[in-house]
Amino acid sequence: MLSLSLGEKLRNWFAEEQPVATARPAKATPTGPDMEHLQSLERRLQSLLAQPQLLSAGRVHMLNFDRLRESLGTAWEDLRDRVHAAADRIINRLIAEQDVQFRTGDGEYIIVFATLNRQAATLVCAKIAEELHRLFLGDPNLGDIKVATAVGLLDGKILYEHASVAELLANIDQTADPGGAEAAAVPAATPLPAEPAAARPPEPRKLQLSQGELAQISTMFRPLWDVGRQVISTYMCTPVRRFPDGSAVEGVAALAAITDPQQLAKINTDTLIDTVEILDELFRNKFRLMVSVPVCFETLAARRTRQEYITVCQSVPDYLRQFLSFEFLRFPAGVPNGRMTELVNEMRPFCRWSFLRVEFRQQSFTSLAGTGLTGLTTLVPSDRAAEARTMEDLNSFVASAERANLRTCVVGVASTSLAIAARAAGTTLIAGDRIGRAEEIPQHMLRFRWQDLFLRDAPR
Amino acid sequence: MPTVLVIDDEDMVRLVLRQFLERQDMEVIEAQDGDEGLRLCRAHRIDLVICDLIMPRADGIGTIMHIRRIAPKMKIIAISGGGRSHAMELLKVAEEMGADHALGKPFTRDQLTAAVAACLPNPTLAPRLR
Repeated sequence: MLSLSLGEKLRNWFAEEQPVATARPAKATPTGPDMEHLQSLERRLQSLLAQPQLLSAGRVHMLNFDRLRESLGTAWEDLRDRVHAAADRIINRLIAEQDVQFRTGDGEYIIVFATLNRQAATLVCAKIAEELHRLFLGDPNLGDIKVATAVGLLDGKILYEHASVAELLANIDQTADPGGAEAAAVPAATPLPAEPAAARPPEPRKLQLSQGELAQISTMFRPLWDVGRQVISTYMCTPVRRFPDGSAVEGVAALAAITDPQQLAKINTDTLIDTVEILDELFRNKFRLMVSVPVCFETLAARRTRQEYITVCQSVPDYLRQFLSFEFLRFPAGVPNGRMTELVNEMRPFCRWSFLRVEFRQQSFTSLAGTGLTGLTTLVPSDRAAEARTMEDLNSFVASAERANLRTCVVGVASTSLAIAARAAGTTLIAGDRIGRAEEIPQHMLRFRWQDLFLRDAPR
Repeated sequence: MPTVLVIDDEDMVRLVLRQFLERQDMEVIEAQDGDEGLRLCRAHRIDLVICDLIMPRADGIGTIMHIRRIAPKMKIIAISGGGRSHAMELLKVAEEMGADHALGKPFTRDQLTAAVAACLPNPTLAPRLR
């Protein structure tokens, strides 16, 4: 019988100190399949921990994200779920199937490696910590990030040795075979016998949509009205996802179902390449226009995908870069100023402007001041019955952006009344069905005055 | 007695305008948005329309254009502002699209008096709806 929750048991087992008072309350005792899963996890752990050589082999590690939490400050509360989701994803990618990982607290993980030796295990942990910190903080000081390796038992508690990620990575570099760090990760200990299939928890069934359906993401171009200059000079490249029933969603919503960073990076890269090729062709045909290209946080946050994306950016000829702007999508609210500045600076050589897509209800942008961003894009609600409220919110949104010295681009404007309200509030760029529908190919820059808007037929 | 139609989504603005205009011996009809304003314009003999520009659903400039189509000789004063940074730019557009005068909020009593007097030099003469 599990009288304590598994989390509590594990915490007691692994705790270096008594749980602090701020620890999150224990969840209700799980039942049904959850309980079976936890019991299976406990059996696997007991099987692993029963090995006398396990601790001395340095296969039990603890990762905590105190440094990340400190750096994020008040943004931690907003980002906690994303940090945990990202940590789960990174850990599960880097550990082996027979290894076990579990979260024992707020931003604290235990990883028990079934087969790796201490050096290889610490390398994996250092890599996990490095990736996660890089994802949320950019280039953190790796000397500040610690990995704890269990080295023995004292009074029923596990003793840990702490080392910084910088030290671990440096040591690995010095001791690794000519084959490099990968070679150091070869298991030294005898692998545990594989768990019988019957003892494994049943894999929860997942929705398996056809890849063909997922691949129905295309790119369209929406005219962006520079209302100050009375010209449509920019075409906003927007992802469009089409469903088998003929319906479609556009913009950030088109990417909402995609959680795999690799897939997002591929979509972003393909979009950039397609767009630049179109822009180049139009440019050679004497068309002059700007295009705004979307790129997701996941693509820029991870070093490998960012480098791949930047490699494509570097291949964009100089004469086209002045006609490119980037729109950063899916950035978490509260991304630190330093991280934002770093990413904006990395992209700046390849574009004229950079905009950040934010939630319309977000009303504080002080942390974005001085990051180098040109402005913010936001999608206004399409509910016409709530237009009065939307107009009020537009005023505060634009005022807040202006306080941070950021321009605003309002997307999703479907009525003249909203276009007027957006301009009256001080918005400089407006897009939406009322301005122009999304097209397969962007058009030439064109003069577009208020009169053109009013004289064009529109439903009242 | 001339009849003035005030179209504004803000209750307080309509109330202040009503009090001012009634003191000038004018009859006041109120509408909360452009669609209601157009209905009232068709249903009543109106001498002057005072129309806000920034309103939900049916905006002021579109409303002015519609009124101008159904009553080409109607006198129209566009009003807008309320602290919004680019409202003045829209008042210019309203004049181009058919408003006779434009007043930025907040306007003074004298400014409103001058605009109404310019629109209704002979208050007894009310243009007929087409």
